[in-house]
Amino acid sequence: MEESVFLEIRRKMQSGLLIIREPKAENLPVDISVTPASLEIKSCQDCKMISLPADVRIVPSSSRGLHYIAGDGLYVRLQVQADSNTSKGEQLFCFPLS
Amino acid sequence: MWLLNSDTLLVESMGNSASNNVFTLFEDSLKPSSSSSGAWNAVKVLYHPCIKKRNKDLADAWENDIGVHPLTFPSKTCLELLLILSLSNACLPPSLRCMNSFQVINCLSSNKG
Repeated sequence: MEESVFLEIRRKMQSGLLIIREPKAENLPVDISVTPASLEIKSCQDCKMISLPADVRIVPSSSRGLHYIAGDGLYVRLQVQADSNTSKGEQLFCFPLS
Repeated sequence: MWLLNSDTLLVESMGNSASNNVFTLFEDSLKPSSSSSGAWNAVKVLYHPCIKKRNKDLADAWENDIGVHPLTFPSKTCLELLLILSLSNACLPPSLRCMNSFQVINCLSSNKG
């Protein structure tokens, strides 16, 4: 059994939202290690290492706002250093679908 | 439909959750097969489904707004798009699926490896 991991990073905001999705009871406890270049999720049955792209680094000791949402998962906010030059400028479109 | 947050980077790793079954529909595109991880540049898409009179008041208001540009597609195309949108919406963590009254998806734009 493996945990699903969802990490949404905003390059311009230099922020990240990490969600460990619904750890299953049989997998608890889960150890989460955050290093600048990787995430490691270790449960009693499994260990998963996720490497970040080379231009993205998590700021050490920046984890905050840890909370659990039932049916959803474990939420952690992270500060991130990401090269924003590689992203295109802000674009906004609006059109209704009929 | 709104597109925003084009500076988003998504790093995802699939476990053996139910959402994997949805992603297998798109295995031939950008998404990994189950239990692998990857990173993608992404754009957040906010949308209102407006078929079968859903959100009719809003659709009517937009139709009368000269700042809104309608694009007309065959209804089959719209239904296929809505199917993709709703499947992608269902893959998000539940608390991220709605923003105000909009449905939300993350549209993957390019693979970061």
